[in-house]
Amino acid sequence: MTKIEPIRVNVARQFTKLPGARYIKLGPFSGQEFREKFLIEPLRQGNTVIVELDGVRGYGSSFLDEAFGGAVRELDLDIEDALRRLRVETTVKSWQLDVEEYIRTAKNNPSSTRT
Amino acid sequence: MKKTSIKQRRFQAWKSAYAIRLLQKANPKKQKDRRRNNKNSKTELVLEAPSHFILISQTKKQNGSDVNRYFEFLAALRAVKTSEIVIDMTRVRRMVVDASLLFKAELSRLTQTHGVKIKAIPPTSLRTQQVLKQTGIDQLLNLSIEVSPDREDVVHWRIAEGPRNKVDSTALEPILADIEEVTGLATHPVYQGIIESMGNCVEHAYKDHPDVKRSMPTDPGWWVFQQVKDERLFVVVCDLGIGINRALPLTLANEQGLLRKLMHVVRRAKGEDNRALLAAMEYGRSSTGLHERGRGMRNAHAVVNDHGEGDFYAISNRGFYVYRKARKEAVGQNQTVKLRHSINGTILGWSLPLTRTPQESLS
Repeated sequence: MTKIEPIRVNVARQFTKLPGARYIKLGPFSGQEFREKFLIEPLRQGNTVIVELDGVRGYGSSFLDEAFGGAVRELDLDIEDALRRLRVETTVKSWQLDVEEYIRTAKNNPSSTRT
Repeated sequence: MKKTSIKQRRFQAWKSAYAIRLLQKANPKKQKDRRRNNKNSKTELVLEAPSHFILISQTKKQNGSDVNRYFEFLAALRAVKTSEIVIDMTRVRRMVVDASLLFKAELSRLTQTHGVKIKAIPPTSLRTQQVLKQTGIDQLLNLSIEVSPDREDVVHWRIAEGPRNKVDSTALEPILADIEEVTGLATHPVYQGIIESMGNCVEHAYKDHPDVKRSMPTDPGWWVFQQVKDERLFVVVCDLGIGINRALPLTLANEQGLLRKLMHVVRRAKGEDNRALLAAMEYGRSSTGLHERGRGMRNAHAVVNDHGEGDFYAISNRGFYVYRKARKEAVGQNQTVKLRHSINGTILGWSLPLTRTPQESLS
């Protein structure tokens, strides 16, 4: 049986060094745009996605919440499954902790994730 | 000559300062509303800019009159009804970063919404000339300044601005590039504060409100200034919107119970703008589970906490909130002050020492 390699996404190289706001309607390089471009399809197909967060100027929490928490909400993923298949790599500990928190609490507010 | 003691000299200094204050009280300097005739005999309004552009007194050397004079000047600027004005910048010699940003925003609003043609008499201070040039205020004033900025406390002023309906993160690159140059850090905690403030501005600052009749700017509708001075990094974000006091009830229009709870928690603060500021902070602090909103203020504090030490402050209309954290403290201290003058908008700012490396506290 062949093992399926996780899909790696490097935010700085493949998306932007200047991540923007939460929604596409608020401007370019939003968390919603990142989610739709890089996360939704691979996760829907059952793949694992590893997002490399380093190399950017920084992140607003809205961006991270909408990208990662938003993916869990949009695909209605099980939290444990999401934590297994949607991972981040970074040297900045607070980003790692924030992303995990957004995934864990993604479903606390059902009205989130506007499209 | 008789030698006087330190105590006597202090008393003499206090006595002179007291006499000057009494004199100023008796003859308060009002903002001069001069009018002059130009060649075509059209009347021009001449506004005299004060020597200090300052929003809040910080040192003992500056008394409240500096601040009052600046706000009198701003009030005169906001009230301009003529199609042309002349701003006399001759005396301006100190421009604090947040006050300068507000000045630029007000000039921009005047030209955008009223089509006012602005002319100016250049400042005599070389440093002020350099600041005007570096920040682009000279262009709004239609001033031709030949001098090239070269002073260390001027060359790191950076500006970014954008339309009120769009968060344009790419506009921040010159600011972040300069921060990288002075700190050696390509990733800086202040980015999260700036980007969230811009998001809040676009989403909430310019909502329609029945109490606000003044015309609002559209493009630019938000402004960011950065300055490096005395081994500290200052970053300030400004909008001329309705203010947090008016925006918060609109944001929580469908959650009246939550709004009442928040306002109850902060009921002891002086002034409705301060209560709204504290309620917004409380909303941000306790927003786990409320994914849509409220994180802006949490990010604003996280800038200081992630950096390890520094100040974060927010001014919204007449409210002033400051959060200050020393490196040895686990959590910072905050306080609010009710201001005498409204800034007619919202300013969020950070003052961070350059010497610390944020990564220490992050990793």
